[in-house]
Amino acid sequence: MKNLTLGFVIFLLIGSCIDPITLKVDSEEGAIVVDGGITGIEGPYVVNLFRSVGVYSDLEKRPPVTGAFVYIIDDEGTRYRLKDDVVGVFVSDPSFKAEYGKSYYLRIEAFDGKVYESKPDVLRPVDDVDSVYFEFEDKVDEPNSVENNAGFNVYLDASIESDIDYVRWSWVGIHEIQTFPEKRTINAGEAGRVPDPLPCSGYQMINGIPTPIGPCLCCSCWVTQYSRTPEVGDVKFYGGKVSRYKIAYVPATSDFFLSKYYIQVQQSSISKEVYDYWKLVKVQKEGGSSLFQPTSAKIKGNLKCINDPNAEIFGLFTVSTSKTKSIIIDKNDIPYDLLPAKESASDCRFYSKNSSSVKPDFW
Amino acid sequence: MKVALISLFVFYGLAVSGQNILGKKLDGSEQGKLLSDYFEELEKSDTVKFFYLPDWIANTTIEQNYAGKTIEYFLEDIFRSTSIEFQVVSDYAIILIKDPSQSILRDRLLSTASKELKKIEPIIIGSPSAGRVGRVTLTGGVTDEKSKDPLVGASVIIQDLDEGVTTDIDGNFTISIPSGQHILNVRYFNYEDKVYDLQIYEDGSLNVPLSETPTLLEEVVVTDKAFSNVMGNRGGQTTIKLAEIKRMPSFMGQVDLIRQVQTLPGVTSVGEVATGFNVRGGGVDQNLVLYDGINVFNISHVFGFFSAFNSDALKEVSFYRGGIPAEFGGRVSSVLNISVKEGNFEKWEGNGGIGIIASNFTAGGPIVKDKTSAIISLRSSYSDWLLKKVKTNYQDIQNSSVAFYDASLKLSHLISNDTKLQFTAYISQDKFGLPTDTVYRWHNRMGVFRLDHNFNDKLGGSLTAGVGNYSYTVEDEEPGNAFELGFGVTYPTLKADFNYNFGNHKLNFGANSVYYRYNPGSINPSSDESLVRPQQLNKQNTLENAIYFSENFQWQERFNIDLGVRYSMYSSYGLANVYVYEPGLPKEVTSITDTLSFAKGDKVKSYTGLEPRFSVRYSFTPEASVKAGFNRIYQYTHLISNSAAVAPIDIWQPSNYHFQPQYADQVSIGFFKDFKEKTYETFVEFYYKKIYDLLDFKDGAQLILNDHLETDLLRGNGLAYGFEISIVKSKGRFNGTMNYTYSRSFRETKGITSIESINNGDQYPSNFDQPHVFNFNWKYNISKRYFISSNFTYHTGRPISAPTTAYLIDNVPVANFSLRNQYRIPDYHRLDLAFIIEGNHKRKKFWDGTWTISVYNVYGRKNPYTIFFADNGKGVLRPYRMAIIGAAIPSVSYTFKF
Repeated sequence: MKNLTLGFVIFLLIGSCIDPITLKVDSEEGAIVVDGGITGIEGPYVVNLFRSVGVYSDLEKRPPVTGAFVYIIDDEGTRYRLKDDVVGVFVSDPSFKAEYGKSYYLRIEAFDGKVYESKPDVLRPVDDVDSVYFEFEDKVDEPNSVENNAGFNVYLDASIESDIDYVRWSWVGIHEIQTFPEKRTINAGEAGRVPDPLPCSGYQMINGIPTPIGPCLCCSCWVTQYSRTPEVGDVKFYGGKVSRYKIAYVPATSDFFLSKYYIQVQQSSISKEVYDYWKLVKVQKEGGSSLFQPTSAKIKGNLKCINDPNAEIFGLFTVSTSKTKSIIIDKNDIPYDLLPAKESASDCRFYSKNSSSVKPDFW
Repeated sequence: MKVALISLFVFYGLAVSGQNILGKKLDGSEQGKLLSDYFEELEKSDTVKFFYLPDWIANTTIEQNYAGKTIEYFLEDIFRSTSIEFQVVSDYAIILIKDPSQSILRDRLLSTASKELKKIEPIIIGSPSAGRVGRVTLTGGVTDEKSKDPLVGASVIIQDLDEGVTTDIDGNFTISIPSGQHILNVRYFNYEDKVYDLQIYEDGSLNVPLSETPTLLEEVVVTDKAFSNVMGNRGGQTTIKLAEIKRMPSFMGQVDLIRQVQTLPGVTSVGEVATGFNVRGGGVDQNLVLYDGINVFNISHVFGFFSAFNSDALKEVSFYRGGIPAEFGGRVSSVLNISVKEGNFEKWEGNGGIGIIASNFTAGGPIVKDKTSAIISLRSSYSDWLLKKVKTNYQDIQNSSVAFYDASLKLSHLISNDTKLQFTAYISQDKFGLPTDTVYRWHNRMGVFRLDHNFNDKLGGSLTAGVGNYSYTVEDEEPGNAFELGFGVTYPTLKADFNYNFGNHKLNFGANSVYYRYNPGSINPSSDESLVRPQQLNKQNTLENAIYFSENFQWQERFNIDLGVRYSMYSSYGLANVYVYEPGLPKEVTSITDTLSFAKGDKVKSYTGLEPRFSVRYSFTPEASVKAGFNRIYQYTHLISNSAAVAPIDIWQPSNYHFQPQYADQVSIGFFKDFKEKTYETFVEFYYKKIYDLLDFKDGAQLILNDHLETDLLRGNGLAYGFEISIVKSKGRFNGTMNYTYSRSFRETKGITSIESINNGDQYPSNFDQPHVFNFNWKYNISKRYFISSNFTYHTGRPISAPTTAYLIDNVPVANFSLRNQYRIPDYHRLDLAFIIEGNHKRKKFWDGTWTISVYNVYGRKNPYTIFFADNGKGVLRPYRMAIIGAAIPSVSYTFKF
C-alpha cells in the first residue's frame, strides 16, 4: 500500500515527465536588438546592436547591425555620437561622461531610413551592496555519494537609501581551469593511438617523445560566467532593505573549484520600464516548468520606431549606475574532498566562449 | 371464454345475416336497468335469445335512453370501446363475442410476470356491480418508495392494450382506461417495475411507490430512461445517472462526477491538472455549479484530479449546456445542478469505498421513521500521512503533501404531507504543498435550509436560505520571505421558487438574491525575520438579485414551447476607493486623475440585464424531434487567471466601476432521434454563441494583490460555435456512449491603443480552443456480476504562444514570443480500463461489496500538459514538454453497501 502510494506520488512529481520536443515555428526575420547603455558617471559607454536570430539558431552567431548612426542625446539636446570600430559594438567617446540628475536617451538612424528612439531616463546613483556572503548547502543525505549536487548559495544584503525605485542585481563569476594539451593523442591506424601534443602546449615531438621546449600557452585559463536569470527588486516592496537575498548558486564540483571561485555581484539602479522588462524575462525563464505557467508575454523593450509604428525593435537602452562587491569562495570551503576533474587534452581557450588564458589581476 | 370460442366455431356455419331482430326499436324503458336484466326481458317479450358469459356484462348498467333507436344501434353503443362484439345467427340469436385476444394476452402477461418473480398486486377499483361501461379515469402519483420523492417521467402503461402515459413534473399521471380487467405496468429507469392485476370499474386513484433496483442488468424487461432525449423538451440537457458513474474506470479508486461531465458532448477540459471544465467554448468560470441550491466556486480537489463531491451523497445531477431555464442565471455557459440524496425514511443503510489514495463512507436513515431522516457522507485522503511515513532519499517527496477531505450532511423533516424542511451542510478542504516550502490551502463551506410546500395540487413552492464560503491561502515558510497570502468570498443566498400548473401549462417563477462579500487579497508576514510588508486590498461587496418567470405549454399537439425571461439586477457597494483614469488614454497607474471614495454601504455601480430564454420542441413522432433554443445570460463575476489551466489560487473579480458584466447570447438547434425503441438514442446539435465584455489579462500582468486591476485587464469579446454528435446505447449487455464535438472558440481584444489590444486587435484562439473532441465510454456485462468498462478520450491540443526569435541582452538569452495562441501543444488522448466484480445481487443481503480494478492511461501516453521554453544551457531556448501523468496508473478499490 505504501509503495503504491509512493509510486503514485513519484509518478506525479518525478515521473511527470519533462522531455524535449520539436515544435515547428515560423521564424521571423531578424529585428534590431539594442543591448547596452550608460553605466555610471565614468565612460566609455557601449551599446551593442545585433539582429535577433531564429529560435533554434546559435545565439553566438547573431549578425551585427551595420550602416547605422547611433547617438546618445541628453535633456539639453546635445548629441554624443557612438562609433562602431568593432562591427555591431558602438562605443562612445571617452570624453563623454554622464551626470547624475540629467536624463538621456538613445537614437538610432538605421540604413533603411527607420529611426528608433528610447524613452529618456534620468541617471541616478546607487548604493553599495552592504555585503556578499556564501553558505554551503548539501543537497543529499549521503555526502559522499556520486550524484553530488551540493553547492554554495551566494547571498547579498543591501539597504537602499538613495532615491531610486528599482534595482537590478547581476553577477559575474570567474574560475580557473587546467587542461593538458601535451597529452593529446591521435589515432595512427595500425600503430594505435600515438602522442600528438598541441603546439600551444609548449611540447614538441622529438624522436617520438613529447618534449617540453617552451612554456604552455593554453594550459591554464580563466572562464567567465554570467548570471542568466535576471534578478530585480522593487525597493518599496522590500521596504528599502534586503537581507539574505539569494543571488547565485555555484555547484561544488571540481570543474568550478580547481582552486577557487571568484564572484562579483553588481547592483544597478534601473527605471520602471527596465524593471518591467526584466520581470517579464524572469517570468519567462522561471515560469516554464511550473504547473501554473503564466502564458508568455511579448516582452517589449524601452525603444520604439518613431517613423514606422509597425517596425519592431527589441532590447534595452539602460541609464543606470552600478556598484559591485566581490568575494572569493575557496576550494577549502567545501567540507569534503572533491573527486578530481576529468583530464582534458584540449586547448583550454576553447573550453567555452568566455575562456581566456589571460590571468585576471586579482587572482 | 372457452364457451365463447366454441360458440364461435359452432355457429359460424349457421351464420345468416338476419337483420330483422336488430332492427327492432326500443322504447326507452331500458334506461337504468342492468343489461343482463334487460336481455332477459327482451327474451321474454320477443323471439330473441342472447348468448354470452354472465361476467362479461355483470356490472353493466344501461345509462342512456335509447327510445326510437334500433337494437343494433343500442348494442353498438353500449359495447363501444369495449372488447365485446355481437353477431346475429338464424335471425333470432344474438351472440356476444368477446375478443379473446385481449384476455389471452392478459393471462399470458400475468404468467410471464409471475415467472419473472415480479410482484403482481391485485387492485380492484370500484365494484363490478356498481360499475360503468366505457372508459374510466385512473389518476395517481409515482414515488420513490424510500425518499417519497416523485419520479418524473415514469411510464404508466396498460400493457394489454399497449397504451400509456408518463408522469409529469410532480410525478402524477392521469390515464383513461376501458372499464374492466387489465395489466397495469409502472416503470422508471433504475427502479423495479410494478405490475398490477387491475380491475377497474369506475374513476379512481392509485399511488405507486417504486423501489430502486439492486442491479442494472435487466435483460428481459425493457426499461425506459427518465428524461428521454427525444421527449425532453430542452436541447442541451442531460441527466447524469449516478449508478453509471460508479461503473466507470476510476482514477486511483475514486469515481468522479466532474470526469463524467467531461465526457459529455460539448464539454472539454484543458488537461489533467485543470480544475473545472469548458463548455461550448466558455471558460471554467462560466459554469454554474449548485449544490442543493448554493453556488460552489471550486469544484475539484487537488488541482483537478478528483472532484470535490462524493458521488455517494448525490441523488441527481442535471447538466444544461444550452436552453438554460430561466430559474438559473449568473454564469454564461452551463449549469450543473446537483441535488443531494436524502436519508432513507424507513431504514438505515450506507455505502462506502476504500481506495489507494482516499476512502469514503456514507450512511443515512430515519431519525423518526417516516418523518425525519439524516444522511452523512465523508471522504478523506490519507496520502499525506503515508508520505510522511515513507523513508526515502528523495527529500522532495517527504516535504510535499497532498491532502483533501470533504463531508456532507443532510437532514430532512416532513412537517406534513405537503411540507418538507431540509438542511444541507457541505465542507471540502484541500492542501497541497510543494517541496519548495510553499503550501496551498483552499476550502469551500456551506449550509442551507430549504422549505418545500404544496399549497394545492396546482401550486407548489420552495424557499431556500443559506450561506457559502470559499477561500484559499498560500503560505511560504522560507524565513526571509515568509508570508501568508489570502483570498476569500462569503455569499449568503436567499431563493424563492414557485411552480403552478393549469391545463397543459406549467409556470415556474420566483426570485433569488445573493450577497457576495469578497476579500480580494491580503498578505501578511508570517515570521519575525520576514521582509514582507503587510498589505490588504479593500473588501468588495456586491449584491446579485434576479426575478424570473417561465411558462411551458403544449401547442398544436406536436409543439412544446418554453418561454422564459429573467431579469437580473446587480450592485457593487463601498467601502471602496475607485481610481478614475484620463479618458482616451490607456489605463495606466500614471494616468490616474482622481480617486473616488465610497463609504461602507454606498452604492458604487449598478448593472441590470434582461435575459430572454426560449426553447421549442417539435415532435415528428415520439421517436424523433427537433429542438431549438435561444438564451441570453449575464454574468457578474469573472475568474482572472494568467495561466492556461486555472489554479485554485486565481482571483474572482466581481463587476464594479471599471468592469462591466459579461453576457452571452446563444442559439442552438438540434435533431434528436431514437432507434429501435430507445435502444439507440442519437442527436446532432449545432450552436453559435457570442460573449461580450470578457476580461483578458495584459501581457505580463501582475494579478495578485493588485489594487488597480483595471490597468492590467482588458475587455474583449468571444465567439464560439460548433456542433455535437452523440449516440447512446443504453440497453443490453453492451452499452455505451460515443460523442464527437467540433467546436471553435475565439477571442478578440481591441483597445484604443496597441497596449490595450491583444494580437493587435485581431481574433485569436482562446486558451481552450480545442476543435476536435471525441469520447467513447462503454461497459460490457460479462455476466451478472462481472463488468468491463472503458473510456477513451481524444482532444486536440490547446493553443499556446511559441517563441519565434531569440536574442541576448546583457548575456541573458531572451525569447520573443509570437502573437498569442498561434500554435498548439500535441493532441491529448487516453484510454482507461476497469474490471468490476460486483457482489451477488440477492435483494435481502445485508452487505454488498464490489471490487474495481482499473488502469488509468493504459498505454502510458505522456500527454503534454504544457510546453515551455527553457534555456538549454547554450543560450538557446528549446521547447520542452511537461506531462503530468506519464505512465499507466493502476488502482484497486473496494466499495460496499449495507
